[in-house]
Amino acid sequence: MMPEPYEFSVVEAAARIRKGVLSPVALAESLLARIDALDSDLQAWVTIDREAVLAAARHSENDVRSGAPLGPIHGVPVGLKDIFYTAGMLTACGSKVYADFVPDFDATCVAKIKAAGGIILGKAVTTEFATSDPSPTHNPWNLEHTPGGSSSGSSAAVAARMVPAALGSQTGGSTCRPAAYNGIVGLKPTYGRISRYGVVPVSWSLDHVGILTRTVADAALMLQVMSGEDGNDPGSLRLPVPDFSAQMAEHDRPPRIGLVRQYYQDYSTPEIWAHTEAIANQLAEAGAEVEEIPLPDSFARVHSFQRVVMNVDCAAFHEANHRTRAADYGPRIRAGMEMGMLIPTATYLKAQRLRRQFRADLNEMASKVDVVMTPATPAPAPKDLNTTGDAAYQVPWTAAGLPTVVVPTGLSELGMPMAVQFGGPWAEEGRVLGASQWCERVAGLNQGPPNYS
Amino acid sequence: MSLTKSEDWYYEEMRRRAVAMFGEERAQDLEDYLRTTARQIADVEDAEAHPDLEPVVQG
Repeated sequence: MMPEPYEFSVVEAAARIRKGVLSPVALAESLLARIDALDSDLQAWVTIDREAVLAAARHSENDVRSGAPLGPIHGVPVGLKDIFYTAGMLTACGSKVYADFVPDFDATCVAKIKAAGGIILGKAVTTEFATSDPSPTHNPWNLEHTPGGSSSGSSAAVAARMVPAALGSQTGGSTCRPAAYNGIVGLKPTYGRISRYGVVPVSWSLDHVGILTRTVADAALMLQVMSGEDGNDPGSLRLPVPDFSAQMAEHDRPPRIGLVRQYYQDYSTPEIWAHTEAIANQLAEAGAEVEEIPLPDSFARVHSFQRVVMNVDCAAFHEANHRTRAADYGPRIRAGMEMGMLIPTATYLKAQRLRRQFRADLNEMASKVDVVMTPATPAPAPKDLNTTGDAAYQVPWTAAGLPTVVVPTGLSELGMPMAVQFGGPWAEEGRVLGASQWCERVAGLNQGPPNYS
Repeated sequence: MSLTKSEDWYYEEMRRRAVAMFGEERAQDLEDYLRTTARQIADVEDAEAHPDLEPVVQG
């Protein structure tokens, strides 16, 4: 039986559109109908300009018919967390403070998606300013469980087949944690690999653009589309963009895996740790070389210095609005920025100094193997809509700015997704993606939420 | 703040500053956050950093 268009991955949809066997208009209509059917339950979307989507899809279709040059994601719709600037389109950041904010330009990564032929499907729900006050979004695997955050809508929408790819962001764990909770792939690239120009910040030195998809190959393609130096982003990576697909293919083989037991075994639920060990054994049986590796000493303070940096940066960005509109902020972001206002400057700089040491240490640890493997989260998505979950397993990699990929690998006793996280050295996304794709093939979950796929 | 300060010292200092900046009522609301942040500050300040180690400016 022919699959419905909404079921296609980015790679599948783009290939079919290029061959002329899938109409961009049919794809857009299929996804919009899917959103109409499901979003009252899931509440993943905040703004969709239906007419603009269909007009862009018709334009894409005309390009295919006329033989015009087609970009790598021509005609494929993409969702955006509602912190990405979109020219002429509301970018409310889940906040009363930005309730009427309409940017007059596209974020660099949004412009790159459009230049590659992608269609902006709409803006997905974010927690307020991408921090930790929960959003109204529900987890499609079980509506009583959190989808995680802060990229809540982007993750739930990709999992429920309302869009094949969506952008998130990560300052602590906001892309890879919700990816794990929703049973999809999450990619947090190296810091600065994707420009953050036109992305409303939480913390300038910690923020990353993240990618949420249903396959590792899709994440690699989206990374290729958006990567590159941007003079408008002072943190932008000054490196040529490699061919990630070629790198991924080179590393798509049984990898040498460094499994981290220290800290992770004790901090995880028994179910999560048993699952992680089972996946490691499964990968070893398929040919991977799995060895246990120790954490660097500097790991011990990473959660403290990451939080110090994040709170101070957040306070600096919001200070002017806090003076006049403090009551309009959610309780957690307000408290976090107020803590940032109280932290001594010398402590902030000490935190940033410790962070530099940690980054060097984690990079050295990751360079000893092909990929570092840990559970993706300490527990499956909690049955609690008043939390976004625990970002403890993402924070170290975010603070270090090193790349990670989350691959869904199983279901808990309660039927919630479980996942593993792979990390690699600085600027080695291709290596991490290749090992992740191999793992996806050997031990991937390969199913969506029962009521929404 | 010196390297020898305790978590409680940081908490008292944070609370004093919170009252000055936001008022007593708000400082009471922030009690849990003040405790947590004092612990994080103490954790950072207790660590040794090599004199040549410069801070991260961009991630």
